[in-house]
Amino acid sequence: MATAERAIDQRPQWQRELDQVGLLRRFLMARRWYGADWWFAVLSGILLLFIFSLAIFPGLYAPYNPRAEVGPALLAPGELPPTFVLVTQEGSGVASLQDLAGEERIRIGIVRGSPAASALRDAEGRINEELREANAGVSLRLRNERYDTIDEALAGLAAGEVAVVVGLSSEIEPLLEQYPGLAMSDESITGQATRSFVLGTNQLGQDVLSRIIWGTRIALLIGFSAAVFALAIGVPLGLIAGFWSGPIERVLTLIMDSLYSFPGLILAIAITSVLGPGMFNVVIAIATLYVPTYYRIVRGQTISVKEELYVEAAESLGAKPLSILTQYIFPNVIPSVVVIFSVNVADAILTEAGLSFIGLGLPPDTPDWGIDLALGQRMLRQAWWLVTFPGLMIVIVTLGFSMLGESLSEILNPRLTEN
Amino acid sequence: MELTPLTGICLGSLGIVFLVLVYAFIRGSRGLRAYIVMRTLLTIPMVFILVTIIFFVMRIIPGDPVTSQLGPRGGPEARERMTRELGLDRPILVQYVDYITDVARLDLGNALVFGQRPVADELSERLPATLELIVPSLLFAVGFGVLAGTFAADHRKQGVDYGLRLFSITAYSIPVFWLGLMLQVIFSLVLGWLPVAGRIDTIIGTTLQRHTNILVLDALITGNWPALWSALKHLILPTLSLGLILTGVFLRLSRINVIETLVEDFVLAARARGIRDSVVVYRHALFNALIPIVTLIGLQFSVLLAGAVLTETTFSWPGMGLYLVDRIGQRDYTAVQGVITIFALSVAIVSLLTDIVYAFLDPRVRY
Repeated sequence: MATAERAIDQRPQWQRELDQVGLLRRFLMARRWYGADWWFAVLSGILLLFIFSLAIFPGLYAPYNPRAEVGPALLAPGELPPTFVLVTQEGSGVASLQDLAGEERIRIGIVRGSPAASALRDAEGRINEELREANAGVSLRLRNERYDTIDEALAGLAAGEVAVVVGLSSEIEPLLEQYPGLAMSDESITGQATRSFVLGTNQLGQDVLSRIIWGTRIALLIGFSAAVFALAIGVPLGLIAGFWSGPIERVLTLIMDSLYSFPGLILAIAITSVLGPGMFNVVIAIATLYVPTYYRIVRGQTISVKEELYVEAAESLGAKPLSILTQYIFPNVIPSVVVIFSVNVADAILTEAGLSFIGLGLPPDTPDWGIDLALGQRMLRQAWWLVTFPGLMIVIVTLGFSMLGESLSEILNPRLTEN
Repeated sequence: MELTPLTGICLGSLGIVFLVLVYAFIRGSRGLRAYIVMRTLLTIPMVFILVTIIFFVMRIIPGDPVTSQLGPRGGPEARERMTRELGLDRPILVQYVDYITDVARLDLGNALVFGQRPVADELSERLPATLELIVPSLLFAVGFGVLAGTFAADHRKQGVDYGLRLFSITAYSIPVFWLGLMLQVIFSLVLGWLPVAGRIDTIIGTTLQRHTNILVLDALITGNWPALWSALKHLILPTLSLGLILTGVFLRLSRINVIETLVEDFVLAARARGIRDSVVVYRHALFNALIPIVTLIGLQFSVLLAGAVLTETTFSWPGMGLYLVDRIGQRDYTAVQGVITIFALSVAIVSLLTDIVYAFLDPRVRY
């Protein structure tokens, strides 16, 4: 029996040797023959594992809530947010805005139109809200005195025109030497710890890093569900159409060919523009694009495998068509389906990002790469980091899937190799 | 039928297709003639199916153009009037037949917003801009991709080969709009060499007489050199982003084809005759490997159109893609349907053309 098999088996020695060992050994041994492609597959596999872990546990990696305003708007990567501090007469006992609550209207000095002015306005509202919630019975009543420069404001404070001055700590520090009687509070008036954001913040004060980490979940969810949907429809249709040819199969093939030739993104645009935005609708739209891909490949392979001797043998032994289809033909199409699946996930992620970019994908507050890019495009002149990092993430993830697909196709379909 | 630029361009391209068909038919063998007839006839059901898919996607799927256009402010009378104006109160089959006959006459209906002009007129103003974008992009992608692919094949399994292969995979993993944004950041905002968006400098644009509305061509015809310079400068970044995305596919295919051709007997014979290696690779092998590229151009045309939509959005390039995106935002479904129909027709025509050219060039391919 063994000799007979070997006589039929025309494959090279090393491929036959591979059949003898277990899956893991086989995988490691394959390195010797597939060389660069093996490394491609392994490296992209490791990359994808990391990306999967990002998608499954984004909360572990993301430092902040992706939808919350966690810092000042448009902070560059690694830049420290500006700290606004109070300047008071030394020994006045005022260390923060809260200390001023409950007194008469406090005259407070700010520089006209400066960021410190808006920071003070925000802080005043927030502190009063807190005091009301705590039923403290007191409130903060400020009266702003506007100056043209921080220098004038400090002079006003030294002369006793105002009780407190608000300004940027970096601006005030060098000036303090000229006013010996003044002191700067240690705390920032916004009450936030001064922390920097690795990839900066967007115009809504959201953390870019957290948003792209949470975006992984959305991208993979849509990419995978679209590819699975398409596979679940395309593969059975392809098998059936390849196995039983007839007029219905011809019409189906014509429809699939027409769909296949149609620009994918534009079809998705048409479907989502009618269905409206939403995760499920996007998945349906993208899945529709890939059904023809599976259909064409699977049908083509079914037709060629159908002619093989072992299928004829099975038929003559009385095997039922359904069991021929599932047991003899289906295993032959699996390698191609795996490869297309991997490439499709990459393509689906790109398509989804494109749809979101033109405003057709998901609700606008979703942490999604395409939406982040569209938001970032409006701030292109001010903030390069808003468009750079979400796009880089798309490239890394799609590159992972494309490389996996590419190397798998070389490994699983040795016929396709160039030798 | 009124002769708008759109119908002009459509009739012109149909004329070119017809000439190619006739030429191939006269010069070709019997098998080729049969193939041409078959393939041309097959285009009719294909167009029909595409147009039908568009119709049903736009009408049957839940979601109703009247509600989305009028919004909550529309009263019942306004709704009824609009439904009647759009012909949506008629049976679906009547609407379908109407739509098909309208498409056959290239009548795409009237837009729902901005003066309600015929969609065909609005598109004919946008089509030249799209052509100005996609033709140079395709030329760049084919030229650069084929040369780099041949170079990689010539240096197979060397560092440069792996580098170019990695480049080709990366090229189609990059979203075209992101590449565009990055080029804008680098070349327009940081270096300040090229304009960020648009087709031409606004002030220079007013001096340019428009004949074809393809600005580079107009500037050449009228000899308006500042306008030509401005139009070219605006063209570089969009072309580069759209072209680079497509380059990867052409690089891969030409690399594999040249590798396959390099082992053929005629290459060996040429080498044996002592012809220089570069001539063997870049003339003998490359020219034979070029034939499948024709098919790939046909297949990539739809990628090119989809890419054009995103590129135009990124660069505010006033072509058909930006029009589509704008009108989706305005919920102008007649316009959306019109653009998509034109896209479908052009894809069908290009696919017919490339199949015929391929069959003409390579006698082995017949149905």
